[in-house]
Amino acid sequence: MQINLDDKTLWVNIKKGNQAALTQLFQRHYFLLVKTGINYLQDPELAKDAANDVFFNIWRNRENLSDVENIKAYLAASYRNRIFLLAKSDLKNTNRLKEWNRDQEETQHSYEEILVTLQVKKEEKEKLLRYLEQLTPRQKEYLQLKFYEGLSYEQIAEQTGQAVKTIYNTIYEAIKILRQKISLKK
Amino acid sequence: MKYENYTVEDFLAEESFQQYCAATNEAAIVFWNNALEQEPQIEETFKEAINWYNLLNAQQGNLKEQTELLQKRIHQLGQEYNAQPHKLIRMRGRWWAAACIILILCAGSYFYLKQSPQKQIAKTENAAKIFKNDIAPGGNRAVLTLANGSKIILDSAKNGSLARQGNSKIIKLNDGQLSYQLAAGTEPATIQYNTISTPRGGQYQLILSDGSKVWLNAASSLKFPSAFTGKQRSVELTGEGYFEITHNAAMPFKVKNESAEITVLGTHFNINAYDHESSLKVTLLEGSVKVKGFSVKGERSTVIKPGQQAQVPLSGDGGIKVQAIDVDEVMAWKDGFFEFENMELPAIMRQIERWYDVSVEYKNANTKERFGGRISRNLSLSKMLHLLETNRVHFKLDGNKITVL
Repeated sequence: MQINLDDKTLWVNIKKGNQAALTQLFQRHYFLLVKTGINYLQDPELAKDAANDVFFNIWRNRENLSDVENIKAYLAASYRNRIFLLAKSDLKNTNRLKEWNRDQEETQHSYEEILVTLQVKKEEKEKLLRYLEQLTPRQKEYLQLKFYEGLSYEQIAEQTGQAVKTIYNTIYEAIKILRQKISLKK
Repeated sequence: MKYENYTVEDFLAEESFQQYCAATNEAAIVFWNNALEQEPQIEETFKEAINWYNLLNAQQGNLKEQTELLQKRIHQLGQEYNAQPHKLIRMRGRWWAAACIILILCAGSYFYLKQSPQKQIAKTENAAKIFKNDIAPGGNRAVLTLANGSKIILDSAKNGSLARQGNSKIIKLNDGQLSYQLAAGTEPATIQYNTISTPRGGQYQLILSDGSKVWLNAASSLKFPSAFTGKQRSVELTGEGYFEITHNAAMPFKVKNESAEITVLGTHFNINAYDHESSLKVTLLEGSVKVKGFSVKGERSTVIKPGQQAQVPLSGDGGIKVQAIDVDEVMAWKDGFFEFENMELPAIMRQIERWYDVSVEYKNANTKERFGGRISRNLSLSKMLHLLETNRVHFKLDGNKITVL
């Protein structure tokens, strides 16, 4: 049985050496952090490693942690620092990282842009972009909410005012269209 | 046959499948693992659907795997803190030991491990300046050769089910672990023999179909059946392995090798059977084992107790030697350390050769000097050599060759 505690309570418990609190905080924030990383990096592995490092370092320094008012903002800042440290020597990431300056507004890339950036081979990038463009804006929006944001059908329905069934069908059709053009069989 | 006709879209559009892929819901994970077990024919479509999920999700990863990774790192951190620094003793002879404390080798290793990342990098750079090149430490690497001859490279294989043999399933668990599972309620069908082998610089952990666990050190191999039947459980080992055997009085467990046969009912023990060492060593941690040695003069056997080590000579016709031993030293490799107690340099360097996949030559060095200490196996080679060099031994590293100066 897991009791959901708020971030600040978890933080206090981590300072006391409670590892379950760290796990809960990690699971709550993991996807949020990784998404910001993927927004700027070509390297999803680096984005994941950096998120892991942030929480590992929190645990390692748990005895010296200061009180933090806004845990989410603290995690976001630690995550960004960690990424900059890890990506410093990695040239392929530097262009996009420039957009992620401390003083600047964050740039949110489009869903298509993020998906395409992650493809390693040039021809795969072009192919994916070409076929994503053939989807309707609504199909793309639902795919993003479903797979990238990780929302449930209920949540998407609430957000868009559409019926769950409609959203399900739209997503189903969109995947079908992409699948006719791109093979991911191994 | 509920999911037999499912298409990739059918899987992908299901909320529980999405939860399975991201591992955000334990019930969904259990549900789909069961479905896969009951209908193995859906696996190909299922895997393709996972690939699509990862593409559309921008490879954000799997919450369960990431959580386990974090927990594993924290666990290892705990072990580093617990590792008590040992004093390094450089000895000119057995009687001179205590007088010659020169440096605390493990404190060095301990010190390295506890530094912040930036400082670690700086240290590496320093060490790298001393040596021409550097070599990363070994890791979880192994190859599984199935009975039909096909090979699976375990370090690059994805977690999950790798192959099926009769009623047994081979599953790659977390990094560095392989498990054999017999489908519930079934009897083992045809028995097939597989071999897992680690290269130099590799190690791996295996859970056999009876639940027994085997840790395989570098440059080692274990031949084992997909399931155990009959009156005994029998495996073959080369190199070094640590065994935690599930108790089963009706089916003794046997580890065989060219030079020896070890018989147990259920216990924890380590076997070091590298060809280039002078003897095969069986060290017992718990329970009791019978060690049978084969030599030109015939078989000899002995039973050892916990804390004892049996040494079966690999050449000549000497008998089996039994002596009390520091079990921590023998088991250090499994916990991620090198541990040397009053050990001659060549014995230390043989371990380094196996873990970093390098060769060692000696030039004018006094190979009778003895050393002691405990060092993490996670250090890069240059850091490792740098630590040893604080004891007035000197090395030259050129590609994969170390020369002891």
